[in-house]
This record gives sequence, C-alpha cells and structure tokens, in this order.
Amino acid sequence: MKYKVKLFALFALLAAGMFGCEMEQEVDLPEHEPKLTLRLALANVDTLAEHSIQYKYSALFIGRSQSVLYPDESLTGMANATVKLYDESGNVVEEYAHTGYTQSEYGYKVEMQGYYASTKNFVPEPGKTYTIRASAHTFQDIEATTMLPEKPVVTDLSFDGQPSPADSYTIEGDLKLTIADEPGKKNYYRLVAVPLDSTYARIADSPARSIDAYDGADFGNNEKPRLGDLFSDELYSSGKITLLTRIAFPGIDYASFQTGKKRYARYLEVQVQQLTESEYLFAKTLEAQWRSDDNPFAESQNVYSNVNSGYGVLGGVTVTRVVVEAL
Amino acid sequence: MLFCMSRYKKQAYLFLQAALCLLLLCCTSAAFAQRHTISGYVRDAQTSENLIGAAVYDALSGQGTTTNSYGFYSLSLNAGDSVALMASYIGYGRQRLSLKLTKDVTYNYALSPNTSLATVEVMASKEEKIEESTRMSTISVPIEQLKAVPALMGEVDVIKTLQLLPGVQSGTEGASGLYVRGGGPDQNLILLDGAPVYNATHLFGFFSVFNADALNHIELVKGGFPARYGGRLSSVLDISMKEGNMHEFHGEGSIGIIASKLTLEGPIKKDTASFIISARRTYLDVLARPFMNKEEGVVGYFFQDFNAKFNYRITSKDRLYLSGYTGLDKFHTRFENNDTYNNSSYYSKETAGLGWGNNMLSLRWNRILNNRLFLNTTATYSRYQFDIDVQNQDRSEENGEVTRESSSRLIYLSNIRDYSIKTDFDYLPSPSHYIRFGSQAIQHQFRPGAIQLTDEIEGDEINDLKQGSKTAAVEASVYIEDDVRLSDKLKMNVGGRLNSFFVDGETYTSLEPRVTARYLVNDRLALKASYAKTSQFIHLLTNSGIGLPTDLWVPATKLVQPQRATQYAFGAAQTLLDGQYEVSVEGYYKTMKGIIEYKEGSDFTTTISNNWETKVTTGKGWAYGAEFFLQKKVGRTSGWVGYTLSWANRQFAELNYGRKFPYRYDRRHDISVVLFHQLPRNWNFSSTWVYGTGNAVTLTESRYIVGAYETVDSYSSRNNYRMRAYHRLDLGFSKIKTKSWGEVVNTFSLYNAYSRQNPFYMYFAGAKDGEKASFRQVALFPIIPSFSKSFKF
Repeated sequence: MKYKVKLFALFALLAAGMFGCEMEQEVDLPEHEPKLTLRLALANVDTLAEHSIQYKYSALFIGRSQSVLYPDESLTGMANATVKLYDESGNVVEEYAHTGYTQSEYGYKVEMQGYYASTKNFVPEPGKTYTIRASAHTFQDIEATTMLPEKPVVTDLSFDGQPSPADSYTIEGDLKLTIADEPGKKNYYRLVAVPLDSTYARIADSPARSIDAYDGADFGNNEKPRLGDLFSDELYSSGKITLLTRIAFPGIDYASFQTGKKRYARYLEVQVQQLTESEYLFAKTLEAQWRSDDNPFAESQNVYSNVNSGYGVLGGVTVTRVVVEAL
Repeated sequence: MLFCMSRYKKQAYLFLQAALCLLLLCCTSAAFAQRHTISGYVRDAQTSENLIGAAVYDALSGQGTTTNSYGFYSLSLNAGDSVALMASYIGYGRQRLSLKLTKDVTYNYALSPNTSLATVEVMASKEEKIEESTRMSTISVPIEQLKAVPALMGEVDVIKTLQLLPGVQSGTEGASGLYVRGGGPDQNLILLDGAPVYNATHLFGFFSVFNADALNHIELVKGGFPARYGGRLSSVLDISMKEGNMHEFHGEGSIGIIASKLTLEGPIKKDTASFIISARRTYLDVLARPFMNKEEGVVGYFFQDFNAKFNYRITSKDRLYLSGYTGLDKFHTRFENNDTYNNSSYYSKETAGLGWGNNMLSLRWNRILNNRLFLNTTATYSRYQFDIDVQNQDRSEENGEVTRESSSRLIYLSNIRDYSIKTDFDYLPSPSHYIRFGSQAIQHQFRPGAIQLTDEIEGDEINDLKQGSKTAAVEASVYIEDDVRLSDKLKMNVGGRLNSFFVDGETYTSLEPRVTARYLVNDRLALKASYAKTSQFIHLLTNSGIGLPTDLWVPATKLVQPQRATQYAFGAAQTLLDGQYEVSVEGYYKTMKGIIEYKEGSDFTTTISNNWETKVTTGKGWAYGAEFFLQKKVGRTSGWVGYTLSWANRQFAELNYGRKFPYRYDRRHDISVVLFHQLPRNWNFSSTWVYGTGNAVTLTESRYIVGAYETVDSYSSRNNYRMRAYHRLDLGFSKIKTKSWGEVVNTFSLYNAYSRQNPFYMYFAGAKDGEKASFRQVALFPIIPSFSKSFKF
C-alpha cells in the first residue's frame, strides 16, 4: 500500500508538470470586408428534384463571409441576391430565384436562407462553358466560369447481387465497372449507385456503399475508386478505369412497411459522374480543412475557390447512368 | 548543380582532373622535401578512448595538426631537426615528446585527465584555436558539458543542448527537432558512428534518441561543409559513441523521474578489445499500470534504446569497430469487453499500437596504410520505421457454442532502409596539406506508406488488401578536399564532391564545390569565408513541421527533383584575454530549391507508396542572417552567449497563391545565455536562458458559408501571424559525492524557473456561453522541478 501511495505521488507530480495552461492571446486581425460566396455544380440533368438526389451540391447557394471573430449565428445565406447564368456568347440562359430550401442527398428537405432554384430549367451541355454572376446590395459582384466535362463513357458494367447472408433485407454483390478515361488529360470522377423499384423509382434514402473498405480508419489511397468518393485518374494511364468493389444496399424500402405495400429493389442505377477540376479541388480541400480542424499542428488548409471577388466554387458535373438488375 | 548526363560527364571529367592535379601537387611537394613523419594516436590514458580533435604541434617549428575522428595524427617535419611535439586536449594534461628526427617515428600519446580542470569548463573541445582553423560554422560539444546543462525532467538531451547554439533553433516548446539556418528537420545529416539516424526523437519529439552516457564526441556543422560530408542541405551532426574502456570495468547510470539508464564498459581482452553497452527505458507505463483496470482498458507508452559497441585492435595498424543502436517508441491501448446475459455471451477485444524506431549497425575498419595515409572503411545499415497496428476480435456464444466470430487487422507502415559502404582516406603529405578523399555508395529502400488489411468472419477471409510498394535507389559519391596552408596568413579548405542518384531509371548528378578560407589579420583575429553547394536526394513529407513520427521519407524521383542549396558565409573569429574568451561573428545567405510540401488537401492519411508524388508541390526557400557567439572557456565560471538574427522564407507555386511566405520557424531574434559555475564543496551550478521571436502561425481571419451547416475558414496568407515571444530560464544544481566504489551526483533542476506560459500552439475558440470569440494559446510546461541521481563506478 505504501508503495502504491508513493507511486501515486510520483505520478501526480509528473502529471502536474505535464499539465498545460491556456490563455487568450490578443491578435490584431485586419478589418474584414464581407464578400459574397457561391456554391453550384452545374449538371447535365433535367430536373432539380432528380438532380438533387444525384448530386449533393446541385442547388445554388449564395452566402457571404464575415470576420472570424463574429458569432457563427450571424453567418447566414443571402436571400436578396441577383444571380444569372450566361453561355459562351454572353446570353443569359438561366436566372435563379430564392427558395430558402433544398433537398439533401438523402431526400429530405433542408430549409435555409440562401438556397436558390432555377427558373428556366436550363440543362447545361457537356463541353460548353458557362459563367455565373451574382450581385447583392452593399457587396461587390462576384463571377465564376466553368466548362462542363464531356459525358463519361461506361464500357462495361456487371453486378451479381444476392441477399446478404447476415440480413435478408440487404442486397450484396460485386460491382464491376469500366470507364473509358481520356488519356493525357486529368479527369475527375465520382461513382454513385442507388436501388430502384420496378417502376424505376428510388426506393431508399441512402445510396449503395462499398463494404470492402475498412470502416475504422481511412488510411491509404483515397484516389482508389470507391462508391460515393471523388477520385482522379492519376493512378490510371491506360485509358480505362476499372472498378471492382463489393457493395451493399437496402433490398426494400423500409418506409413501405408502414404503408403495407412493400417496395423491393429491382434495379440498381449506377451513375458515373465526371467532375470539373474546380469541383474536385473544392471538395478535396474542404474535406482536408475539416480533417485538420482539430489538429493544431497540421498546416492550415485554404479551400479552393474559382470565384472572382468572392469565395466558393462554380463546378460542373456530367452524369452517365446505367441501370442493371439488382438480383 | 544538377544537369543532364552529357553536361554531367564533362563536369565529372573536370572534377577528376582537378582532383588529380591536387593530389599530384601534394605528392610533388612531399617528395621534394626531405622529411620524416611522426604519427600515431592520441588516447585517454585511463580508458584508451581515442581523443578526437586533439592538437599535436611542434613547439620548435610551430607546425601542427589535429587528430582525426579515430584519434590518429600524422605530422611530417624536416629531417634532422629537433622536435618538441606536444599533444594537448582540453581537460587533459599535456604530453611532450622530444627527439631528433632522423627517421619516421610512431608514437602514441596517452593523456591523463586533468582533474584540476572543471568538467564544464570549455565549449570547444579542440585546442586548435578558433582563429587558426579553416573551419566555419562548426561546433563541438563536450559530453561532460552537455550533461551539465539543466534538462527537461532531468533527461540529458544532446539535441536540446545544440539548440542553445546560434543558428540552431528548436521547433516548438520542449521539442528535440533541429532547424539549422532556416532549414527543415530533414535537412540535417545525423550520423551515429557513421550511420544515418532518420528520426532522432522519442516521445513525439520531446526527447532525442541519444543516450549521453554512451557518447564520446559530438560535432555540429552548420555551413562551410567540408567535401567529405554530403547528402543533406543544412547541417551535419556527427556523433561518435564511446569505444569502451580498454583497461578496467566501469559503469555509470542514472535514475530520473521518467527514465533510468545504465552503461557498462570494460575490456574483453586488456588493451586489445573492449565493449560498451548502454540501455535506457522510461517507466511511465509501469508506474501507471497499478492504476489501470484491465476491464476498462489499458493505455501505455514507453520508449527505450540500447547502444552497444565492440572494438578490437587486430594489429598496431588495424582496428575494427562494431557498433549498434536500436530504439523504440511504443504507444498502445487495449480494451476488452465481456458481457453475459442468460445463456448468451459476447466478447470483444480491441488492441491498437503505434510504434516507431531506428535500428542501426555500423562496422568500421581502420588501417594505417603508412605513416602518412590512414584508411577507414565503414559499412552501415540503418532503418527507421513507423507503424500502426489495429486489431479487433468479436465472438458471440450461446449455450457455450460459438455462434459468430470475426476479426480484423489493419497495419499501416512507413519505413526507410539504407545499406552503405564508405571508404575514407586521410593523407598528410606535409604540414601544409591535410588531404581527405574517399567514396561512398548507399542503397536506399523507401516504403513511404503501406497498408495491409485483413477481415475474417467465421474463418472466411472477406478482405485481404495489400497496398504500398517499395522504391529502391542508389546514391554514389566521391570527394576530395585539402586543408592547405598557402601562407602564414592564408589557409584554405578546398574540395569537391560528386554525387549521383539512380532511381527508377532516372539519374541525378550534382557536382558540389566546397571552399573555406581563413585569413589571419593578426595573431588573434581571423577573417573567414565559405562557399558550399549541397544536394539532397531524399525528402521528408510532413504536414505538421514539428517532426512527428508520421512524417514520410521519400526519394527524389522522375517527377520530384532533388533538393539543392547554395550557402555563402563570412565572418570573423578572435580570442580575447589570453584565450579565456572566444568570439565569432558570422553572416550567411542560403538558397534552397526542390523542397517539397504537401499540396493543399493532402496529408499522410491519404498517402501511400503509389501516389505520394501527386500529393506534393515543389518550391524554393531562402535563409539569411547573422550569428554572434561569445564563449568563456576557462575558469570557475564558464559558458556562452549566442545571438542569431535571421530570416527564413518559402515559396511554392501551388501554395499560398504562389506568394512567398515565412517559414514556420522563421525567427527574427534568438538569444541563448548559458552559464556554468563551480561552487565550493563539490557543488555545481548551471543555468540557461533563451529568448526567441514567436513562431509563425497561420490563423483564420474570416469565415464564410457555402451551404447548410457548411462553413469554411479562410486566411489571407500562410504563416500570417506570430505567436508571442518565447523565453525561459532553466536552473540546475548538482552535488558530487565521492564514495569508496565511485561517485554519486545528485542533480536538481528547474525547467522554466519563472513559469513563463510559452505558446505551444494556438487555436481559435468560437463564441460560446456568453464569451466572445478569441484566439487562445496553449502552453505546455509551467515550472517543472526534477531530480535525478547518477552514479559512476
């Protein structure tokens, strides 16, 4: 016992020595001039509802910046901005109106000031360049330009779905997919797969996921194609990208248990999304900033922006869809 | 100086031509003179330990030399002259050899330690005066002095003492990183008995891996690199281990609050072979174990290191050394859960380990080829590895039967491994020339990040992922240098180094001229200047800049160029008051190219062997400044004052909008004051005071919103602010007690004696609970008292 008390005293002394002290430090920050921010991924799909399911950032958001010392509660979206999209000839092809809501990638409605919807249902074309301009009272106008990538070409796709041995309501299988990748050019992709019912309607709020990746830690190459993640073609020089991954998704719409009319997964819609470099860099740097957020020793990360006189990104996404049998 | 092969061939030819001319000139001058040579070793009389850098000079002719890294000297003097050859080394009594030089003579000096001199009296271990040497920007630190500096938690630390020298900066509070003249931590060539040490820190950078009890000699070169050193841009830290007492068995050790260590040495065969072994281990984990409950989880950390060296005098001309080092840091956790409900039970176990360490082995063979030519051949192996190992195990049982069982294991590792063979010749044809030449070949193997993942359910393997490849590279070099006395006033060290690096079918070559000149203005004042080109074929990928074990070593490749630097230095050195004080002032300007950083958005968690090249961006760096160094070498009170005024900047096309920004450790002012004082009755006092401009830090200035719950931080420029200034006072008192079996030293020290809250890091705290948003700094160590007991027998 005496021995333990001595040890404890020694340990306590050491712990006291190691105990850190914290204090406020005055920092002379320069005055920040608020700027407008913009977030939009132009996509070659026709309706906003369908689009928002397929791509998270398809809805336009206009926000603003403020000094970091101001409370976050005062950092809101802008409801009174004028936003127009122009084609290569300078013609207005789309105008946006404030709605104050959007739809999440999981299908539910997200209400927030700053979300805008298109008024002309304009569908951008792959290979074309577009410019967006936004203005709001007391703010400097902002502008961003992007060129929509060409549509990705899927040359091979197979899926051997089976009910999961662990859960009969889950479908598992190997998804094999080959994309023709333009050599000599940096291309960026994202893969999404969603289950559909017999009427080709989406049946669940969560997309399919890769299950052959370790869930406990994210070490390794995040450029390896995995469902849901962005990746570049940096590892592929042969002109094709082949993905082989084991995936799982709900075999039934759980909400349909309540209605009594059960909806089962009949098809699997696989989307290959080709992204602009701006879209890719914005997402990657944003992710890196969040990842290093709690690490005081990590180099700070600025998030990529292609918006002149403001922040954010005008990205572009072209989508190719392939539907296969779920089982 | 990197170039394509055709240009390389021309330059290589010129290099060889110049080298041959130099050799020819020296041989000719040696041949024409009627000379005889006195050669041998200078050793400690009690232990037979070689004395490195001891001065050997002829009091009658004024000619002299110093011993090399193995204690060997050679001096050729006019035949027939009377000679009074004196060997001296600080802390030792002088020894004189008088004779008439009628033939070549071999004489080994055995100097006795001078007990009347304080163990902490001097800074420079050599008696060659500062104004006499051609060497610039080079400092040797005596081990006894190193042990006398007050230490954090009583743990004597080589690198923390070096941080007290001008031009050398610490990273963050308590860290053992070395940042020399604006260079990064990877730009230091750290050699332990000739083998490179890639990560020289324990405990996430707080302690260095070197156990002072096992060391014999430490030398730091910050600039004006002699041609025999290559492979790094910013500094060379050359550390020699003790050889082991040839006469008697001895031991020493210490017991501190976080670690204990023990060193044993003695003869294997008296005056022929000896050994030294040294071990150190922390015991935080052992102390904490009684307070941990296995059911709730066990967390532990320890570090340990082990040094061993054997040496064998095969003949009077041949000697063999075998030395090794192994060190390990281990952080580990284990959680177990066992639930039972009625007839069902569930068991789970999760273990995780984070480990890193160096292994090193060095075999050296010295041979005196003739009394003017000394050969050393070194074969080394060095490996640094960092790994993470996470294992999970689950088992469900019902009525005693296993119903489900699964396991998974993730291993992530990163390592670098070197095999090297090196041959060095020391040729001393006349007192006016000291020629060194040699060659080296290193076979590197890099594995910057590799993953192995296995998942098993019910005995079936559902995942077996292996990623990460190895890259092999070969680095070859030849060099020649001559320390040549051109006149009584002008002495130069002129040399060149030719390096080649072969990786993935790509060849990089660099020719590196090295020149240092010393001009004696009068007997006590010398002006010095140096010019050095250096190149480095390996990089350290780091996201933190503080030397974490997760930093990845990678080679130059087809896509990523080697690092290269040019450094100019100029200065003056003078002794004052009959040699009691030495003062030196140096200015330097260094440019660096090919340095790498992670691109925005990348870090080690996204990096494996296959893709790291795409995650980095290449840039440039500049460092310049002035260093002032005043030291008192003798007397009851000794110490030094160092001051550095410096600038260090970086620029990368893909970072910070392509604009130049301050390096994280750009430090405008850096001051260190070190004092040792002998008190009566075997008491010793030591103190250090340091001051440094606050580290550069990137702070968020604004925040913006891009969607629901999506806010983004923004800053205008990297390293756009400064933490507040760093200063700290450390005090140490020690009392030596003589015992019948040896001696005991009790040391009490205070780290951060006035408990200054020095910034360790800063973060932004948002407005919360009525408090306004602010930047906050976190200080790590307040005043820390420590006590250690060391002993010798």
